[in-house]
Amino acid sequence: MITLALVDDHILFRKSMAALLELMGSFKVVFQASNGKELITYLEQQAGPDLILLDVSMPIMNGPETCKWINKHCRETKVVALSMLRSETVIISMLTNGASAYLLKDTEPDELKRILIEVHEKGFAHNDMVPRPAFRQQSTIPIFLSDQEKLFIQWACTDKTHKEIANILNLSPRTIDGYRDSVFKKLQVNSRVGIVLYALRNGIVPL
Amino acid sequence: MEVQEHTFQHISQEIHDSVGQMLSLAKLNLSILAMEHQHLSAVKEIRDQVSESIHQLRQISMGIQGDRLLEKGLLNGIEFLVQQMRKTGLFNMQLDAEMEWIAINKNDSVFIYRIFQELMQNIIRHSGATDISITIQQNPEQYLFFVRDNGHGFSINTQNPGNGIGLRSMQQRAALIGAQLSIESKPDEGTLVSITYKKKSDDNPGIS
Repeated sequence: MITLALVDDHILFRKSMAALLELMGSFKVVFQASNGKELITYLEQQAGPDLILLDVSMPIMNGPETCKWINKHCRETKVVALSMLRSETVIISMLTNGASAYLLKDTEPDELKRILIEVHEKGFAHNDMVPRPAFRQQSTIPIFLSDQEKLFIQWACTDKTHKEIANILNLSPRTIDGYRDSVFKKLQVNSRVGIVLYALRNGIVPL
Repeated sequence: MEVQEHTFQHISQEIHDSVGQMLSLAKLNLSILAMEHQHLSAVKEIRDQVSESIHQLRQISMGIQGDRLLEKGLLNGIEFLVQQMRKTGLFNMQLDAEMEWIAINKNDSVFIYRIFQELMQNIIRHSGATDISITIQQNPEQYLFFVRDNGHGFSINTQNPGNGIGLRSMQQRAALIGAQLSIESKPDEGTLVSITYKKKSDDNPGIS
């Protein structure tokens, strides 16, 4: 049995999710909370479960903050983000704070089960929100990045838009687009989430 | 204008988040019901209908997002489309625009944006392409848009009639704003669509 905690301020959704997970037969829901703070109070007294299914937008203590705390204090517990939001910056903020996977709330039950089991066994899982990057297969070939490209990668891991990054670096948006395109090509990725995965797995930004 | 746009964006986000959340809950409960009563095929059907509602809600909210971006210029809208295409993971997208701002009035911008949406849909559905490049150039009289893909192309003469209607409707749409749309394609040689837009006096010269 894989033990799980659910954190979501939408109580009806959370209860139904708990019922569904129990029905699947592979999971045991050991704790439920409505925000990060409630979860932390619990984790300060109890050993962490195997997995935590964590909502992103919640009052009092939101997903990214909670994820950061779990990542620091409960290294054995894996976090799977569960949200309505598809925005790249939201996905990135969950990943850079230590989430192992990102799921939409309307994910099919079979897919939900696959992701949870994969995260439990391997520590991460891929889906449409966080596609499997191509660079894993060719990790023996070194990827050479210029200093500007590395700087761009670091900024791509923040919640800044491309225009904001251009402003901060005092460059034109076109120049930033140029860096992005060359980084896309070199890393063989096609989204900002792909860049972030590369940065996290190669220590360009710390987790 | 800024405030209005912000409010609109906010409302569309609210609808997506709250209604989407409730529909997701309904889907979850139907999934539970379907697991408990596997012989009830109607439950699965209803679940799929709810699933489709969530999908459509998402499409609408994304469409609104694109249209809002268009308020900040045609180039912003096209960049959004390119991002959407990239996210599918199916295409290498290249966008080369030699300008920072496309000075085309709002009405015509919407027309061109719709043509681009249609072109992207066609490429997704029919082309089998892996690389798409969009080039935007200008001279004192015109804007030139080129969309090139490396798909399996088609013969203009022997194309199936269904295909032809889509292309003709794009050409008609272009004609409505005085633009010309031409298609060059051969089997196995990809497709090149060119749109030539004649600059007009009421085109917006700067950032609104």
